[in-house]
Amino acid sequence: MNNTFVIDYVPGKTKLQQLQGISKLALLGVMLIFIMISFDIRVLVPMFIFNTGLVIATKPSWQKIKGLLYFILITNTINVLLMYLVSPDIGPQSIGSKHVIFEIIGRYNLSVETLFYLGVRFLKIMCMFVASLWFILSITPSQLAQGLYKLHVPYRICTVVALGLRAIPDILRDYQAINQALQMRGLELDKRRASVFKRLKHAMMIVIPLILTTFEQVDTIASAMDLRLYGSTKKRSYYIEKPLTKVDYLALAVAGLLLLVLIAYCLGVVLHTQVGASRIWYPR
Amino acid sequence: MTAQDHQPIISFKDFSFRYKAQQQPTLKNISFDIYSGEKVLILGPSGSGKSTLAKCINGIIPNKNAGEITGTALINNRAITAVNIFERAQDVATILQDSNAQFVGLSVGEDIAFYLENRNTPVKKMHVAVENVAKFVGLEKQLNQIPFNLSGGEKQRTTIAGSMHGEAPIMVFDEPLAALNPQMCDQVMHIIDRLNKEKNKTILIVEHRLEEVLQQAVDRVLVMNDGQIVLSGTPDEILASNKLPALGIQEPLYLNLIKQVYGSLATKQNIWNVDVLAVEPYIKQFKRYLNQESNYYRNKQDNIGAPIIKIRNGQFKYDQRTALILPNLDIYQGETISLIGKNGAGKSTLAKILTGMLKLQQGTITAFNKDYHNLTLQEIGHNIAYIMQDPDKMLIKDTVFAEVAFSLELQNLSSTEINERVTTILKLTDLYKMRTWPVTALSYGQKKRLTIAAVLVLEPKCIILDEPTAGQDYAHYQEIMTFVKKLNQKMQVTIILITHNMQLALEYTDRALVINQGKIVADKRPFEILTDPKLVSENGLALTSIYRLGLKMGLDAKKLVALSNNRK
Repeated sequence: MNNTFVIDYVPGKTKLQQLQGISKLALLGVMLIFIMISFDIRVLVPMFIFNTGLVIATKPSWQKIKGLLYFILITNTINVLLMYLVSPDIGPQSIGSKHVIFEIIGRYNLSVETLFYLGVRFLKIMCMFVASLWFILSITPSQLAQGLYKLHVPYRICTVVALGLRAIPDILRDYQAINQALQMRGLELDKRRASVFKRLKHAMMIVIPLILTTFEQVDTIASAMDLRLYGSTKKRSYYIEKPLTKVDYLALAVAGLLLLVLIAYCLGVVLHTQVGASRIWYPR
Repeated sequence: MTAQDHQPIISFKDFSFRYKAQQQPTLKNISFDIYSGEKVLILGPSGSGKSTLAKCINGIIPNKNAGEITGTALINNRAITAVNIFERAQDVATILQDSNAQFVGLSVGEDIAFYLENRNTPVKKMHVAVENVAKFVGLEKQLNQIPFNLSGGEKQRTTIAGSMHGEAPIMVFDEPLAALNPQMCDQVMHIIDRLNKEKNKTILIVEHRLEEVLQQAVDRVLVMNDGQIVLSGTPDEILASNKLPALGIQEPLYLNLIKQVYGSLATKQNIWNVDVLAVEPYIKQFKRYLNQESNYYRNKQDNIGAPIIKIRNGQFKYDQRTALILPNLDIYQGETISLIGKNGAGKSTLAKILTGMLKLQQGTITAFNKDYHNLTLQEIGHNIAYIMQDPDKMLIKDTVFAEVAFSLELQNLSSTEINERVTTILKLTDLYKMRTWPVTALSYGQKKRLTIAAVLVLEPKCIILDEPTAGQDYAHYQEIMTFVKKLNQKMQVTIILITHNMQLALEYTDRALVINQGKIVADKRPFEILTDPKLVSENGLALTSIYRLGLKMGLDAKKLVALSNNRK
């Protein structure tokens, strides 16, 4: 398989990758909720550091992640800039004070509060990205399915997830093969010769045979699964399931601890009347 | 075993089946019995109804594919209409045709375990069971492999192992050899034989490749045609009947040759395999046959022109360790070439380099003295055409005419010119009568012809065909290849076939490139390769039965292969 593809199909060698699906899911779930509900740099900074550490712990190749990283950095930056253009006073509005650094033009000025607000927003999205990234880098589709099943998700849904992810490389390969065969039949998709618009229009043509062949494959695999008794019982076991190791217990303990902190944090927010998700914590 | 001893395990009486969406029944008045422990081959061309029969046996009909049933069909004493697909799976284990599409798991181990997972088997028990069946098929060291890295034979063996858990007494194999090279065919047939002998399974093999199946003994053959069983008997009886060619089924090559040389068969017993055949009666005639021609190197095709594609010092690296090395390769106008090699040896890579889909990292490749580096795929496509294995992946238009016109329309030619050129091509490819037909109404062979027509309209000088006959029965295979041969002879188009069908290489090409571990290890006439035991065993090939026949007669086997090939 080409090594630039983000999802792995064989569990990697690192400790994190060797964890059982449920441990990874629990850890990811708690942290994602925490990141999502908080608009608080005291939470986000440690989260960012911890999750970045986890990404590094999977020893990813730079080739693999650079595309995704650039994509998120660029879209996130655009997002923050647009937000500033729409409401340059978003910081002072949600924080309640205003210290202008310098005026730009008209209603556009840069205040400490806006800078802080947009910075936290940027950090929050990067946090979610790195959290998702270590998860994607460390889990195989089978582990994901088995982990979800352990969390009492119906196994039909687990199977759909696993099979969907398993099919991606096949579909990509089909896409490329069809694409190249059609280019040889005269469809110009080379950027040296055709405009972006023309290439997009031509690329759409590939979709027809791609969908047809994919449907055929779905039909075959459905028969194959029926013939091997898929769906004949209420419960299902998983070949890849292993007894939890010490590292699994450690991960689950961290997840549990974080859950407690999360509950405490929520209570704290409520008691200190900082109600409402849009409220942002600001050092005073 | 005698039929009177016990009840049949499969019993069809006056059975007919019509698919819901179709007007005519696919199976018509079928009656037969199969007894426990038998090994039966269901033989027939595409569309004869043999796959539908297999579906009736494994429960897909009527549980998944609805239709109208008349007559009775009992399997393990239960009517096929009385049980659901899960209950039926207790009686019948099925190995489907497409081993790639039916690979459910993400590794060999998981796929083998799929049945056990679905029965909620405890994990420890499951691992023991998986290891046991993996050992049976020889995959115990590859349990962690992912499907992308497996050969067709390994995938097929994985599926067989995965179907062994339920201890179902009947096993149905639907075209198990469709995508396998000769060596893998042997392996798979050997495993099927062991399932029959060691595990006492009743085996049904649905195939059209008779000679490959008969590498191992079979108890009985049912020949199907047009929804009916037209012949039934032991392999010897079926082969001696002389009715197979008319039914679109290829006779074993050695028998065909004996009939040509000797005129008939001297005996009707033990003819199903070269190894059991008594050759003495034929030796005299064969000696004479070999002596009549001294020059068995048929002159190379006289219509071969100048080199059109040249590779110099070429190298393509997959990763740090493996690379395809092509020091010097010339492909001439009007040649017919086969690319042969095991899975992953590099034959597809070479084909992709020839089409420009992959770029050489070192060295140069030129077509008509133009360097590929400066050309786009579309520009290369004017000289070199590529036909994918699956025609459905290449066809994108609604009608036959539009499909062929597609490439010309992209060039903004005038509609009169397009009309003219498309009409010429459609007439040449015998598709003119179908020009207004929707593409979906064509048969597989017609679709294949349409894909060739669609690239031919660009007037390429070289056509590369990827596995043009995979999964095709003999009649379709001949239809496609006769057409390709005609193109080569009439228009001097260079033909390059990527194939693991050795008969195809032998019959239709004059030059074979054998690729092994990224190197071209042989560049010779196909018959020279197929009669070289070392090349054969190292590259997943098999010695043809004609060669084995020659050896058994104590004659010049290599010359026999060459001569018999020239006759065609």
